[in-house]
Amino acid sequence: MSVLADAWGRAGVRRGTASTVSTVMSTGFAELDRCLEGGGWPVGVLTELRVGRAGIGEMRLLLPVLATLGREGRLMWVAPPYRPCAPALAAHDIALNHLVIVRPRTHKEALWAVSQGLASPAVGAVVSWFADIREQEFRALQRQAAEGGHWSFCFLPRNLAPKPSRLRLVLEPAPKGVRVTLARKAGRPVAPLIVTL
Amino acid sequence: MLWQAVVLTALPLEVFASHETPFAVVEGKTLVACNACARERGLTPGLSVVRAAASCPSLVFAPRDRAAEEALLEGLAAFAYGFTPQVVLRADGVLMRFTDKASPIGDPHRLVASVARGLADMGYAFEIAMAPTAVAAWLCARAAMRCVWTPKDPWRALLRPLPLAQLPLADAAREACRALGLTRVGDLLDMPRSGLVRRFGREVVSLLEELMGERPEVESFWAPAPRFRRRLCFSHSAETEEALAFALARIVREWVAVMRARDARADGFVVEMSHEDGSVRSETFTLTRPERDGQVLVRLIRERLRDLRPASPITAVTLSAPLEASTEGSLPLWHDGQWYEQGFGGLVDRLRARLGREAVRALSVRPDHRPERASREDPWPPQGPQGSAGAVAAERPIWLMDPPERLEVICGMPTLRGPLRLARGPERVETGWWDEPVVRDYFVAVNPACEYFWVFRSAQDEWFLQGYFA
Repeated sequence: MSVLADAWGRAGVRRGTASTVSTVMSTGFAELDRCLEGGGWPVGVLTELRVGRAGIGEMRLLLPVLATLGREGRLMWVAPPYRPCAPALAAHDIALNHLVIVRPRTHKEALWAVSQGLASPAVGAVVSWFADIREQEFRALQRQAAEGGHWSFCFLPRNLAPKPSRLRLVLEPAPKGVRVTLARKAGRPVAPLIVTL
Repeated sequence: MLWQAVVLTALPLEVFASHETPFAVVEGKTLVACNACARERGLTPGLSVVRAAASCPSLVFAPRDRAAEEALLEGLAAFAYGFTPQVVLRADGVLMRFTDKASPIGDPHRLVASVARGLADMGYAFEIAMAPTAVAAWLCARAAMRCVWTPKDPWRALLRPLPLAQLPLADAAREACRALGLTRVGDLLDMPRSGLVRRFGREVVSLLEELMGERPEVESFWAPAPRFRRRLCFSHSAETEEALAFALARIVREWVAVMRARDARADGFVVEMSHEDGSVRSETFTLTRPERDGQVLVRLIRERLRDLRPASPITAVTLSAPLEASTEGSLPLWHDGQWYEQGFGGLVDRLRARLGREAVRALSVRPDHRPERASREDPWPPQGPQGSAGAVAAERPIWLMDPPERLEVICGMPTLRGPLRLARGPERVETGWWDEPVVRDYFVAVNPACEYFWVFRSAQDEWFLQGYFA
């Protein structure tokens, strides 16, 4: 739990006062923080991110939080769709020697790798990409994220059936940024917003 | 001086995977050992194979494997070596000599208890005894005395009622004793020595003198091997992954005991599986951090074996590893395994064990102007310089296409889900003349759907997609 304890001590992290949300970490984008309950990405939640096509700014939305979490803990990316560009990530303050990329051969291996990451206290955040995922598989990962107290993000294609997630964001390309629709979250609904990247 | 004897009472059985059904080890035409299940059915060592098979049709036989027994005893000696540098190898056990100079003993009872605990952890059937002479210790262990005698005890008197049969006598001498009606050690001791020499030969008297500590014992001590190597045979081939994992878990228990005794840790090991068709499959494990926690090691092996589909049944499995003294002596032992298991090194090892080395990867920056070479993705751990990528890298896309994807050109403009507008550029990249000349003009391009791409125009005026500004 030292990763969490350290994270609490850092700037940009607030302990929520509401009983529903425990700990959040700022997304790094003020307009997005305002819309998220607690004011940032919640811990212990498998955040579902829906993108129609990879490469629309979805990573730049996550890099600020990943840079913070990767400073102390490790980052685990399971089955990213393309080859990440090391200089670009380094320029976004991602500690490359803290980033482990897992390339599983099968869906089952991918699920297993994610669950291993979610169970390890050394890992600060787990980001995974799935072409499809069954509801009970999603639930199992969600449960593990809650138990392990990790920040975790799961990219899914836009047209899949809704998953039982606590927080789902739909991302679409927008001029100079990305359009974010909060499709599922606690609290009152909000209109889509454009996050400038 | 004190001697501790360890006798493995079921050594011929120990080298085979355990059985739930009647099982016996056979040498020549007689049984030399049988498991508990076979004993329940009335089988005993010494019975002929024909009679044993007749009285218990479900009995499974395996021929005695002397080589495997020797390897096992080597392991046992390595374990014993952790307690004293003076270890003597015997046909079915080891003798350990403790002198105040070579190994401060402390409480002999606690010493015997800790050796016994280690043996129990390894899963052996054993007898253990401590006495002031090697022969006495051996005799007591063979007689299942479980005694701890120091020179202060009246041990010479206590030896007298022990059965003569357990003394390592020559067959002729044994027969002669029986003919004379001598059954106890005391009976032999009461005979006049000169008569003994005449009747049985000089060896018997020498043995008695060694037993009573009247004559210094001459022993050659075992020298430790630099590697741990243990082979376990399946009497009928291992069909299931469970049987294999169980056998390996057992080897790991022995191995961990040896590592503890030698203060060694493993940073790698090899598991070899021999198949029925004669082929041998070898799996190499590399650890990110020296380890000797049995549970961690067993988990690693299980992860690797989970997806193993053996082409033909497995007949034997071997584990071998170097035994080097640990350089990390300061590690706290009590939460050792747990710390590692939850730590990052343990995670990487587990991922690699299950998914393969190639599947667990790290990124690094290389000093090359060609974008697809400046970024490397190699098997873990991260290599090369992790230096700053410079200010220019902020303009690099997050996802790279490797190799670059050719773009369709319509009316002179590159298109990707609509015509591309060039938002920034060009940035000239011109390098690599020594192996693969490259001249490219890079642009940040955007399509009508507001997707941002990194594209380049080659010297041949063709357009390529190099990456996504994801």
